[in-house]
Amino acid sequence: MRTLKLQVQISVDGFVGGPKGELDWMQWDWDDELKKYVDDLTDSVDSILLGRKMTEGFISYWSSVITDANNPEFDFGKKMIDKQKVVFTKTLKKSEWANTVLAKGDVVQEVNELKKQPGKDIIVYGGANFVSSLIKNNLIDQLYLFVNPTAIGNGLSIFNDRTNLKLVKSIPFSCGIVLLNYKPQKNK
Amino acid sequence: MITEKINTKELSASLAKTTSGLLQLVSSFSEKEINTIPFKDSWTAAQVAEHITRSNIGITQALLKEGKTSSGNADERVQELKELFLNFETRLQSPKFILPTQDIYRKEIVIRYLQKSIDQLKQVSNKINLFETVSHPALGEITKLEMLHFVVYHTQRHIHQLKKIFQITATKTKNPMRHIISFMHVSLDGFVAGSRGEMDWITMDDEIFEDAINLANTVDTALYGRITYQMMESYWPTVLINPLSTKNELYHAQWVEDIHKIVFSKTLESVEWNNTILIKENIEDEITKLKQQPGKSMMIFGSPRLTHSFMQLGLIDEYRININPVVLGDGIPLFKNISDKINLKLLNTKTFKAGVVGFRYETIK
Repeated sequence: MRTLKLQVQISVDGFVGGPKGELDWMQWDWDDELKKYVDDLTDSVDSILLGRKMTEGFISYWSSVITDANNPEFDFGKKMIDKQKVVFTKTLKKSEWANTVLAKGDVVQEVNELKKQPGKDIIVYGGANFVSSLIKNNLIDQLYLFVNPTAIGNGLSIFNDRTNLKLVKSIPFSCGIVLLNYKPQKNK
Repeated sequence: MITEKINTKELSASLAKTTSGLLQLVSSFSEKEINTIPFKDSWTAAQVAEHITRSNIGITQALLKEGKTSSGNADERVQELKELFLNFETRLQSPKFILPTQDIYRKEIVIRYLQKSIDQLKQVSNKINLFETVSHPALGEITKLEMLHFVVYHTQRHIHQLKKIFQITATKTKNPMRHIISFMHVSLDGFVAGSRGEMDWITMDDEIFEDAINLANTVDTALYGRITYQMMESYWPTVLINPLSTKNELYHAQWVEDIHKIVFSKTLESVEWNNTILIKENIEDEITKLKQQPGKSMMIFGSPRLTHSFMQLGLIDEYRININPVVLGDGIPLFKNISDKINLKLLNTKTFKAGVVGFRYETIK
Protein backbone atom coordinates (compact mmCIF):
# COMPACT_ATOMS: atom_id res chain seq x y z
CA MET A 1 0.00 0.00 0.00
CA ARG A 2 1.14 3.53 -0.77
CA THR A 3 1.90 5.74 2.17
CA LEU A 4 0.83 9.35 2.66
CA LYS A 5 3.69 11.64 3.58
CA LEU A 6 3.40 15.09 5.10
CA GLN A 7 6.19 17.53 4.23
CA VAL A 8 5.97 20.86 5.99
CA GLN A 9 8.13 23.73 7.24
CA ILE A 10 7.55 24.36 10.92
CA SER A 11 8.81 26.92 13.45
CA VAL A 12 10.67 25.83 16.60
CA ASP A 13 7.45 26.36 18.50
CA GLY A 14 5.42 24.17 16.17
CA PHE A 15 3.64 26.59 13.81
CA VAL A 16 3.35 26.19 10.05
CA GLY A 17 2.48 29.85 9.46
CA GLY A 18 2.01 33.12 11.26
CA PRO A 19 -1.49 34.05 12.53
CA LYS A 20 -2.38 35.21 9.01
CA GLY A 21 -0.39 32.49 7.30
CA GLU A 22 2.82 34.58 7.10
CA LEU A 23 5.89 32.67 5.99
CA ASP A 24 8.45 35.42 6.72
CA TRP A 25 10.03 33.33 9.49
CA MET A 26 11.16 30.60 7.11
CA GLN A 27 14.78 29.92 6.29
CA TRP A 28 14.92 30.06 2.48
CA ASP A 29 18.64 29.66 2.06
CA TRP A 30 18.87 25.86 1.96
CA ASP A 31 22.18 24.04 1.87
CA ASP A 32 22.85 21.45 -0.84
CA GLU A 33 22.30 18.51 1.44
CA LEU A 34 18.82 19.72 2.36
CA LYS A 35 17.99 20.39 -1.30
CA LYS A 36 19.08 16.87 -2.16
CA TYR A 37 17.05 15.43 0.70
CA VAL A 38 13.88 17.22 -0.41
CA ASP A 39 14.52 16.25 -4.06
CA ASP A 40 14.74 12.59 -3.08
CA LEU A 41 11.61 12.89 -0.99
CA THR A 42 9.82 14.45 -3.94
CA ASP A 43 10.99 11.66 -6.25
CA SER A 44 9.52 9.06 -3.90
CA VAL A 45 5.99 10.30 -4.65
CA ASP A 46 3.87 10.60 -7.77
CA SER A 47 0.75 12.25 -6.34
CA ILE A 48 0.15 15.44 -4.42
CA LEU A 49 -2.89 16.05 -2.23
CA LEU A 50 -4.20 19.60 -2.12
CA GLY A 51 -6.86 21.31 -0.06
CA ARG A 52 -9.22 23.33 -2.27
CA LYS A 53 -8.15 26.68 -0.78
CA MET A 54 -4.47 26.39 -1.61
CA THR A 55 -4.88 24.76 -5.03
CA GLU A 56 -5.27 27.96 -7.02
CA GLY A 57 -2.13 29.55 -5.54
CA PHE A 58 -0.11 26.34 -5.71
CA ILE A 59 -0.79 25.66 -9.37
CA SER A 60 -0.47 29.23 -10.60
CA TYR A 61 2.80 29.69 -8.70
CA TRP A 62 4.48 26.60 -10.18
CA SER A 63 3.01 27.27 -13.62
CA SER A 64 4.69 30.66 -13.66
CA VAL A 65 7.98 29.20 -12.38
CA ILE A 66 8.20 26.79 -15.33
CA THR A 67 7.74 29.54 -17.92
CA ASP A 68 11.37 30.50 -17.28
CA ALA A 69 13.97 27.77 -17.74
CA ASN A 70 16.52 29.89 -15.85
CA ASN A 71 14.42 30.04 -12.72
CA PRO A 72 16.38 28.24 -9.96
CA GLU A 73 13.13 26.48 -8.99
CA PHE A 74 12.47 25.29 -12.54
CA ASP A 75 13.27 21.60 -12.00
CA PHE A 76 11.21 21.43 -8.85
CA GLY A 77 8.35 23.37 -10.45
CA LYS A 78 8.32 20.93 -13.36
CA LYS A 79 7.86 18.06 -10.92
CA MET A 80 5.02 19.88 -9.19
CA ILE A 81 3.22 20.44 -12.47
CA ASP A 82 3.87 16.96 -13.90
CA LYS A 83 2.83 14.95 -10.85
CA GLN A 84 -0.79 14.03 -10.42
CA LYS A 85 -2.64 16.36 -8.09
CA VAL A 86 -5.75 15.43 -6.17
CA VAL A 87 -7.83 18.38 -5.05
CA PHE A 88 -10.22 17.84 -2.15
CA THR A 89 -13.37 19.86 -2.65
CA LYS A 90 -17.07 19.76 -1.98
CA THR A 91 -17.87 22.80 -4.15
CA LEU A 92 -15.86 22.57 -7.38
CA LYS A 93 -17.64 20.86 -10.27
CA LYS A 94 -14.69 19.96 -12.45
CA SER A 95 -10.95 20.48 -12.55
CA GLU A 96 -9.60 23.22 -14.80
CA TRP A 97 -5.98 22.38 -14.22
CA ALA A 98 -3.65 19.96 -15.99
CA ASN A 99 -2.78 16.65 -14.27
CA THR A 100 -5.39 17.37 -11.63
CA VAL A 101 -8.37 15.38 -10.47
CA LEU A 102 -11.05 16.23 -7.92
CA ALA A 103 -11.89 14.18 -4.83
CA LYS A 104 -15.37 15.12 -3.72
CA GLY A 105 -16.25 12.33 -1.36
CA ASP A 106 -15.42 11.71 2.28
CA VAL A 107 -11.76 12.50 2.98
CA VAL A 108 -11.04 9.22 4.78
CA GLN A 109 -12.56 7.08 2.03
CA GLU A 110 -10.94 9.03 -0.78
CA VAL A 111 -7.47 8.91 0.78
CA ASN A 112 -7.74 5.21 1.58
CA GLU A 113 -8.83 4.53 -2.02
CA LEU A 114 -5.82 6.46 -3.32
CA LYS A 115 -3.48 4.53 -1.05
CA LYS A 116 -4.73 1.24 -2.50
CA GLN A 117 -3.94 2.26 -6.06
CA PRO A 118 -0.58 1.20 -7.52
CA GLY A 119 2.22 3.71 -7.87
CA LYS A 120 4.69 5.67 -5.82
CA ASP A 121 3.83 7.29 -2.51
CA ILE A 122 1.56 10.31 -1.97
CA ILE A 123 2.55 13.64 -0.45
CA VAL A 124 0.79 16.62 1.10
CA TYR A 125 2.33 20.05 1.73
CA GLY A 126 -0.58 22.01 3.21
CA GLY A 127 -2.49 24.07 3.99
CA ALA A 128 -2.87 24.08 7.72
CA ASN A 129 -6.60 23.19 7.92
CA PHE A 130 -6.44 20.45 5.32
CA VAL A 131 -3.38 18.84 6.89
CA SER A 132 -4.95 19.18 10.30
CA SER A 133 -7.98 17.20 9.15
CA LEU A 134 -5.74 14.52 7.63
CA ILE A 135 -3.86 14.17 10.93
CA LYS A 136 -7.08 14.11 12.91
CA ASN A 137 -8.34 11.25 10.75
CA ASN A 138 -5.08 9.28 11.16
CA LEU A 139 -4.43 9.38 7.42
CA ILE A 140 -0.80 10.58 7.50
CA ASP A 141 1.70 7.71 7.61
CA GLN A 142 4.94 9.69 7.77
CA LEU A 143 5.58 13.23 9.00
CA TYR A 144 8.57 15.11 7.58
CA LEU A 145 8.76 18.26 9.66
CA PHE A 146 11.49 20.71 8.73
CA VAL A 147 12.12 22.70 11.90
CA ASN A 148 13.23 26.26 11.09
CA PRO A 149 15.51 28.10 13.56
CA THR A 150 12.89 30.66 14.57
CA ALA A 151 10.22 30.94 17.25
CA ILE A 152 7.19 32.98 16.24
CA GLY A 153 5.04 32.77 19.39
CA ASN A 154 1.71 32.46 17.64
CA GLY A 155 0.30 31.13 14.40
CA LEU A 156 -1.31 28.30 12.46
CA SER A 157 -1.03 24.79 13.84
CA ILE A 158 -1.63 21.46 12.14
CA PHE A 159 -1.97 19.55 15.39
CA ASN A 160 -5.14 18.78 17.29
CA ASP A 161 -5.41 16.48 20.27
CA ARG A 162 -2.89 14.74 22.41
CA THR A 163 -1.14 12.10 20.27
CA ASN A 164 1.99 10.07 20.64
CA LEU A 165 4.42 9.82 17.76
CA LYS A 166 7.34 7.59 16.99
CA LEU A 167 10.57 9.27 15.95
CA VAL A 168 11.97 7.60 12.82
CA LYS A 169 14.99 9.87 12.43
CA SER A 170 16.23 13.40 12.82
CA ILE A 171 18.77 15.12 10.58
CA PRO A 172 20.33 18.52 11.31
CA PHE A 173 21.24 20.50 8.18
CA SER A 174 24.02 23.07 8.07
CA CYS A 175 21.62 25.87 7.08
CA GLY A 176 20.03 25.53 10.52
CA ILE A 177 16.98 23.49 9.55
CA VAL A 178 16.43 20.14 11.29
CA LEU A 179 14.35 17.34 9.84
CA LEU A 180 12.17 15.52 12.34
CA ASN A 181 10.69 12.41 10.77
CA TYR A 182 7.87 10.76 12.74
CA LYS A 183 5.30 8.05 12.33
CA PRO A 184 2.04 8.38 14.19
CA GLN A 185 1.50 5.71 16.82
CA LYS A 186 -1.73 4.12 15.80
CA ASN A 187 -2.48 2.42 19.05
CA LYS A 188 -6.02 3.68 19.52
CA MET B 1 71.07 81.39 30.78
CA ILE B 2 69.54 78.77 33.02
CA THR B 3 67.85 76.97 30.16
CA GLU B 4 71.11 75.63 28.85
CA LYS B 5 71.49 73.53 31.94
CA ILE B 6 68.40 71.59 31.08
CA ASN B 7 69.26 68.15 29.82
CA THR B 8 67.24 67.54 26.70
CA LYS B 9 68.98 64.24 26.03
CA GLU B 10 67.33 62.70 29.04
CA LEU B 11 63.99 64.01 27.87
CA SER B 12 64.25 62.50 24.40
CA ALA B 13 65.42 59.19 25.89
CA SER B 14 62.42 59.11 28.17
CA LEU B 15 60.15 60.09 25.28
CA ALA B 16 61.51 57.25 23.18
CA LYS B 17 61.19 54.73 25.99
CA THR B 18 57.64 55.72 26.94
CA THR B 19 56.28 55.77 23.40
CA SER B 20 57.82 52.45 22.44
CA GLY B 21 56.41 50.97 25.66
CA LEU B 22 53.01 52.25 24.65
CA LEU B 23 53.20 50.76 21.17
CA GLN B 24 54.27 47.43 22.56
CA LEU B 25 51.42 47.42 25.05
CA VAL B 26 48.77 48.33 22.46
CA SER B 27 50.11 45.58 20.15
CA SER B 28 49.68 42.99 22.88
CA PHE B 29 45.89 43.35 22.75
CA SER B 30 44.10 40.92 20.45
CA GLU B 31 41.73 42.21 17.79
CA LYS B 32 38.83 41.34 20.10
CA GLU B 33 40.40 42.61 23.31
CA ILE B 34 41.29 45.97 21.80
CA ASN B 35 37.59 46.65 21.20
CA THR B 36 36.27 45.22 24.46
CA ILE B 37 34.80 47.63 26.98
CA PRO B 38 36.49 46.59 30.24
CA PHE B 39 33.96 48.12 32.61
CA LYS B 40 31.09 50.60 32.52
CA ASP B 41 32.00 54.15 31.34
CA SER B 42 35.52 53.13 30.38
CA TRP B 43 37.19 53.54 27.02
CA THR B 44 38.36 50.51 25.11
CA ALA B 45 42.08 50.09 24.48
CA ALA B 46 41.54 51.18 20.87
CA GLN B 47 39.79 54.34 22.07
CA VAL B 48 42.65 55.13 24.43
CA ALA B 49 45.07 54.67 21.53
CA GLU B 50 43.05 57.01 19.31
CA HIS B 51 42.93 59.58 22.09
CA ILE B 52 46.73 59.48 22.44
CA THR B 53 47.16 59.64 18.66
CA ARG B 54 44.99 62.75 18.49
CA SER B 55 46.79 64.29 21.43
CA ASN B 56 50.17 63.63 19.73
CA ILE B 57 48.98 65.25 16.51
CA GLY B 58 47.81 68.30 18.46
CA ILE B 59 51.15 68.57 20.23
CA THR B 60 53.08 68.21 16.99
CA GLN B 61 51.08 71.04 15.45
CA ALA B 62 51.74 73.21 18.51
CA LEU B 63 55.44 72.40 18.34
CA LEU B 64 55.55 73.63 14.75
CA LYS B 65 54.01 76.99 15.66
CA GLU B 66 56.30 79.92 15.91
CA GLY B 67 56.69 80.81 19.57
CA LYS B 68 58.03 83.60 21.76
CA THR B 69 61.22 83.16 23.66
CA SER B 70 60.40 81.91 27.11
CA SER B 71 60.64 84.63 29.73
CA GLY B 72 61.03 82.40 32.76
CA ASN B 73 62.40 78.92 33.26
CA ALA B 74 61.53 76.71 30.31
CA ASP B 75 60.85 73.81 32.65
CA GLU B 76 58.77 75.71 35.17
CA ARG B 77 55.61 73.65 34.64
CA VAL B 78 57.25 70.22 34.44
CA GLN B 79 56.69 69.34 38.09
CA GLU B 80 53.06 70.48 37.91
CA LEU B 81 52.42 68.31 34.82
CA LYS B 82 54.11 65.34 36.41
CA GLU B 83 52.03 65.59 39.56
CA LEU B 84 48.83 66.03 37.61
CA PHE B 85 49.23 63.15 35.15
CA LEU B 86 50.99 60.63 37.33
CA ASN B 87 48.47 60.85 40.13
CA PHE B 88 46.40 57.83 39.13
CA GLU B 89 43.88 58.40 41.90
CA THR B 90 42.35 61.47 40.29
CA ARG B 91 40.04 61.29 37.30
CA LEU B 92 40.94 63.69 34.50
CA GLN B 93 38.57 64.84 31.81
CA SER B 94 39.90 64.78 28.27
CA PRO B 95 39.35 67.94 26.20
CA LYS B 96 36.60 67.31 23.65
CA PHE B 97 38.81 67.68 20.55
CA ILE B 98 40.86 64.62 21.40
CA LEU B 99 38.01 62.35 22.48
CA PRO B 100 37.81 58.99 20.68
CA THR B 101 35.42 58.93 17.74
CA GLN B 102 34.47 55.31 17.12
CA ASP B 103 33.15 52.19 18.81
CA ILE B 104 35.00 49.53 16.85
CA TYR B 105 38.49 49.88 15.40
CA ARG B 106 40.77 47.65 13.42
CA LYS B 107 43.85 46.94 15.45
CA GLU B 108 46.20 47.28 12.51
CA ILE B 109 44.95 50.79 11.74
CA VAL B 110 44.96 51.87 15.38
CA ILE B 111 48.63 50.94 15.63
CA ARG B 112 49.59 52.41 12.27
CA TYR B 113 48.15 55.84 13.15
CA LEU B 114 49.58 55.76 16.65
CA GLN B 115 53.03 54.89 15.31
CA LYS B 116 52.83 57.64 12.73
CA SER B 117 51.80 60.26 15.31
CA ILE B 118 54.75 59.26 17.51
CA ASP B 119 57.26 59.31 14.64
CA GLN B 120 56.17 62.78 13.55
CA LEU B 121 56.25 64.08 17.09
CA LYS B 122 59.80 62.80 17.61
CA GLN B 123 60.95 64.09 14.25
CA VAL B 124 59.60 67.57 14.87
CA SER B 125 60.90 67.73 18.43
CA ASN B 126 64.45 67.14 17.18
CA LYS B 127 64.56 70.16 14.93
CA ILE B 128 62.87 72.93 16.87
CA ASN B 129 63.85 75.34 19.61
CA LEU B 130 62.40 73.78 22.77
CA PHE B 131 62.74 77.00 24.74
CA GLU B 132 59.95 78.85 22.96
CA THR B 133 56.55 79.42 24.51
CA VAL B 134 53.38 78.74 22.56
CA SER B 135 49.70 78.60 23.38
CA HIS B 136 48.06 75.15 23.38
CA PRO B 137 44.25 74.78 23.40
CA ALA B 138 44.27 72.49 26.42
CA LEU B 139 47.53 73.29 28.19
CA GLY B 140 47.54 77.08 27.82
CA GLU B 141 50.80 79.01 27.70
CA ILE B 142 53.52 76.41 27.65
CA THR B 143 57.07 75.95 26.48
CA LYS B 144 57.77 73.33 23.84
CA LEU B 145 60.03 71.59 26.30
CA GLU B 146 57.20 71.37 28.83
CA MET B 147 54.96 70.03 26.09
CA LEU B 148 57.32 67.10 25.49
CA HIS B 149 57.27 66.41 29.21
CA PHE B 150 53.50 66.48 28.97
CA VAL B 151 53.67 63.83 26.23
CA VAL B 152 55.77 61.58 28.47
CA TYR B 153 53.55 61.92 31.55
CA HIS B 154 50.29 61.79 29.62
CA THR B 155 51.46 58.64 27.84
CA GLN B 156 52.62 57.08 31.10
CA ARG B 157 49.22 57.78 32.60
CA HIS B 158 47.54 55.96 29.75
CA ILE B 159 50.00 53.08 29.91
CA HIS B 160 48.92 52.63 33.50
CA GLN B 161 45.29 52.66 32.37
CA LEU B 162 45.93 50.27 29.45
CA LYS B 163 47.60 47.74 31.72
CA LYS B 164 44.46 47.67 33.83
CA ILE B 165 42.26 47.38 30.74
CA PHE B 166 44.46 44.59 29.40
CA GLN B 167 44.05 42.49 32.53
CA ILE B 168 40.27 42.84 32.49
CA THR B 169 39.70 42.34 28.77
CA ALA B 170 42.06 39.38 28.61
CA THR B 171 40.07 37.65 31.35
CA LYS B 172 36.83 38.69 29.71
CA THR B 173 37.66 37.33 26.29
CA LYS B 174 39.02 34.13 27.78
CA ASN B 175 35.90 33.78 29.94
CA PRO B 176 33.15 35.32 27.84
CA MET B 177 30.14 36.82 29.61
CA ARG B 178 28.10 34.24 31.44
CA HIS B 179 25.26 32.90 29.34
CA ILE B 180 21.72 32.45 30.51
CA ILE B 181 20.43 29.11 29.31
CA SER B 182 16.81 28.05 29.24
CA PHE B 183 16.45 24.28 29.48
CA MET B 184 13.02 22.88 28.70
CA HIS B 185 11.23 19.69 27.76
CA VAL B 186 8.65 20.58 25.15
CA SER B 187 6.04 18.80 23.06
CA LEU B 188 6.31 18.81 19.27
CA ASP B 189 3.70 21.58 19.22
CA GLY B 190 5.73 23.77 21.57
CA PHE B 191 4.17 23.26 25.01
CA VAL B 192 6.08 22.84 28.26
CA ALA B 193 3.01 21.57 30.13
CA GLY B 194 -0.53 20.57 29.28
CA SER B 195 -3.45 22.94 29.89
CA ARG B 196 -3.88 21.46 33.40
CA GLY B 197 -0.16 21.54 34.03
CA GLU B 198 0.37 17.91 32.95
CA MET B 199 3.99 16.86 32.59
CA ASP B 200 3.42 13.11 32.39
CA TRP B 201 4.31 13.15 28.68
CA ILE B 202 7.95 14.08 29.32
CA THR B 203 10.25 11.19 28.49
CA MET B 204 12.92 10.79 31.16
CA ASP B 205 15.19 7.78 30.96
CA ASP B 206 18.82 7.24 31.97
CA GLU B 207 20.20 8.60 28.69
CA ILE B 208 18.19 11.83 28.86
CA PHE B 209 18.76 12.23 32.60
CA GLU B 210 22.49 11.82 32.14
CA ASP B 211 22.51 14.42 29.38
CA ALA B 212 20.64 16.81 31.68
CA ILE B 213 23.18 16.18 34.45
CA ASN B 214 26.05 16.88 32.05
CA LEU B 215 24.38 20.10 31.04
CA ALA B 216 23.75 21.04 34.67
CA ASN B 217 27.44 20.52 35.37
CA THR B 218 28.33 23.27 32.90
CA VAL B 219 26.49 25.90 34.95
CA ASP B 220 27.14 27.22 38.43
CA THR B 221 23.87 29.01 39.11
CA ALA B 222 20.29 27.80 38.92
CA LEU B 223 17.51 30.31 38.32
CA TYR B 224 13.97 29.59 39.47
CA GLY B 225 10.57 31.22 39.50
CA ARG B 226 8.65 31.05 42.78
CA ILE B 227 6.48 28.02 41.97
CA THR B 228 9.29 25.81 40.68
CA TYR B 229 11.49 26.93 43.57
CA GLN B 230 8.89 25.97 46.15
CA MET B 231 8.39 22.59 44.48
CA MET B 232 12.14 21.95 44.43
CA GLU B 233 12.64 23.15 47.99
CA SER B 234 9.96 20.87 49.38
CA TYR B 235 11.07 17.85 47.33
CA TRP B 236 14.85 17.52 46.90
CA PRO B 237 15.92 17.81 50.56
CA THR B 238 13.62 14.85 51.34
CA VAL B 239 15.34 12.78 48.64
CA LEU B 240 18.64 13.22 50.48
CA ILE B 241 17.30 11.57 53.62
CA ASN B 242 15.09 9.00 51.94
CA PRO B 243 16.70 5.51 52.09
CA LEU B 244 14.81 4.51 48.92
CA SER B 245 16.37 7.21 46.72
CA THR B 246 18.23 5.96 43.66
CA LYS B 247 21.83 6.85 42.86
CA ASN B 248 20.79 9.34 40.15
CA GLU B 249 18.24 10.96 42.47
CA LEU B 250 20.78 11.29 45.25
CA TYR B 251 23.30 12.77 42.86
CA HIS B 252 20.88 15.40 41.62
CA ALA B 253 19.54 16.11 45.12
CA GLN B 254 23.06 16.88 46.31
CA TRP B 255 23.73 18.98 43.21
CA VAL B 256 20.60 21.07 43.80
CA GLU B 257 21.50 21.42 47.47
CA ASP B 258 24.98 22.74 46.70
CA ILE B 259 24.44 24.89 43.64
CA HIS B 260 24.05 28.64 43.88
CA LYS B 261 20.30 29.30 43.53
CA ILE B 262 18.50 32.52 42.64
CA VAL B 263 14.76 32.84 43.07
CA PHE B 264 12.83 35.56 41.27
CA SER B 265 9.63 36.49 43.06
CA LYS B 266 7.77 39.66 43.93
CA THR B 267 5.74 37.99 46.68
CA LEU B 268 8.23 35.83 48.59
CA GLU B 269 9.56 37.57 51.71
CA SER B 270 12.60 35.42 52.26
CA VAL B 271 14.26 32.20 51.15
CA GLU B 272 15.54 29.56 53.54
CA TRP B 273 17.26 26.98 51.36
CA ASN B 274 21.00 26.55 51.32
CA ASN B 275 22.93 28.86 48.90
CA THR B 276 19.82 30.70 47.81
CA ILE B 277 19.21 34.37 47.22
CA LEU B 278 15.97 36.16 46.42
CA ILE B 279 15.57 38.84 43.74
CA LYS B 280 12.32 40.74 44.07
CA GLU B 281 12.60 43.43 41.41
CA ASN B 282 14.69 44.99 38.62
CA ILE B 283 15.30 41.64 36.94
CA GLU B 284 17.10 43.25 34.05
CA ASP B 285 19.62 45.20 36.15
CA GLU B 286 20.24 42.26 38.45
CA ILE B 287 20.86 39.94 35.53
CA THR B 288 23.23 42.40 33.88
CA LYS B 289 25.20 42.53 37.13
CA LEU B 290 25.24 38.75 37.43
CA LYS B 291 26.37 38.35 33.83
CA GLN B 292 29.34 40.63 34.44
CA GLN B 293 30.53 38.64 37.41
CA PRO B 294 33.03 35.91 36.72
CA GLY B 295 31.61 32.41 36.65
CA LYS B 296 30.01 29.75 34.53
CA SER B 297 26.66 29.99 32.79
CA MET B 298 23.36 30.27 34.61
CA MET B 299 20.42 28.04 33.81
CA ILE B 300 16.68 28.47 34.23
CA PHE B 301 15.13 25.22 35.35
CA GLY B 302 11.46 24.74 34.53
CA SER B 303 9.82 28.01 35.60
CA PRO B 304 7.83 28.78 32.42
CA ARG B 305 6.60 32.16 33.64
CA LEU B 306 10.09 33.29 34.61
CA THR B 307 11.30 32.06 31.21
CA HIS B 308 8.62 34.20 29.52
CA SER B 309 9.74 37.30 31.45
CA PHE B 310 13.38 36.67 30.58
CA MET B 311 12.43 36.03 26.96
CA GLN B 312 10.52 39.30 26.71
CA LEU B 313 13.51 41.17 28.18
CA GLY B 314 15.80 39.46 25.65
CA LEU B 315 17.89 37.96 28.45
CA ILE B 316 18.12 34.38 27.22
CA ASP B 317 21.32 33.59 25.33
CA GLU B 318 20.85 29.91 24.73
CA TYR B 319 17.93 27.50 24.46
CA ARG B 320 18.22 23.81 25.21
CA ILE B 321 14.99 22.30 23.97
CA ASN B 322 14.22 18.61 24.30
CA ILE B 323 11.44 17.98 21.80
CA ASN B 324 9.36 15.00 22.91
CA PRO B 325 7.59 12.75 20.38
CA VAL B 326 4.17 13.89 21.44
CA VAL B 327 1.52 16.41 20.44
CA LEU B 328 -0.41 17.99 23.33
CA GLY B 329 -2.81 20.18 21.36
CA ASP B 330 -3.02 22.74 24.15
CA GLY B 331 -1.11 23.92 27.19
CA ILE B 332 1.54 26.35 28.41
CA PRO B 333 3.78 27.34 25.49
CA LEU B 334 7.54 27.76 25.81
CA PHE B 335 7.53 30.84 23.58
CA LYS B 336 4.86 33.23 24.76
CA ASN B 337 4.00 36.93 24.29
CA ILE B 338 7.09 37.53 22.24
CA SER B 339 6.79 40.88 20.53
CA ASP B 340 8.67 39.75 17.45
CA LYS B 341 10.14 36.54 16.10
CA ILE B 342 13.06 35.05 18.00
CA ASN B 343 15.76 34.15 15.50
CA LEU B 344 18.01 31.34 16.56
CA LYS B 345 21.25 29.80 15.46
CA LEU B 346 21.33 26.01 15.52
CA LEU B 347 24.44 24.83 17.37
CA ASN B 348 23.70 21.11 17.39
CA THR B 349 21.13 18.42 17.96
CA LYS B 350 21.16 15.13 19.78
CA THR B 351 18.82 12.25 19.08
CA PHE B 352 17.95 10.13 22.10
CA LYS B 353 16.96 6.47 21.85
CA ALA B 354 13.56 7.20 23.37
CA GLY B 355 12.63 9.45 20.44
CA VAL B 356 13.40 12.79 22.08
CA VAL B 357 15.53 15.21 20.06
CA GLY B 358 17.65 17.71 21.99
CA PHE B 359 18.10 21.03 20.19
CA ARG B 360 20.76 23.53 21.18
CA TYR B 361 20.20 27.04 19.89
CA GLU B 362 21.89 30.36 20.48
CA THR B 363 19.79 33.51 20.36
CA ILE B 364 20.69 35.83 17.47
CA LYS B 365 20.63 39.36 18.88
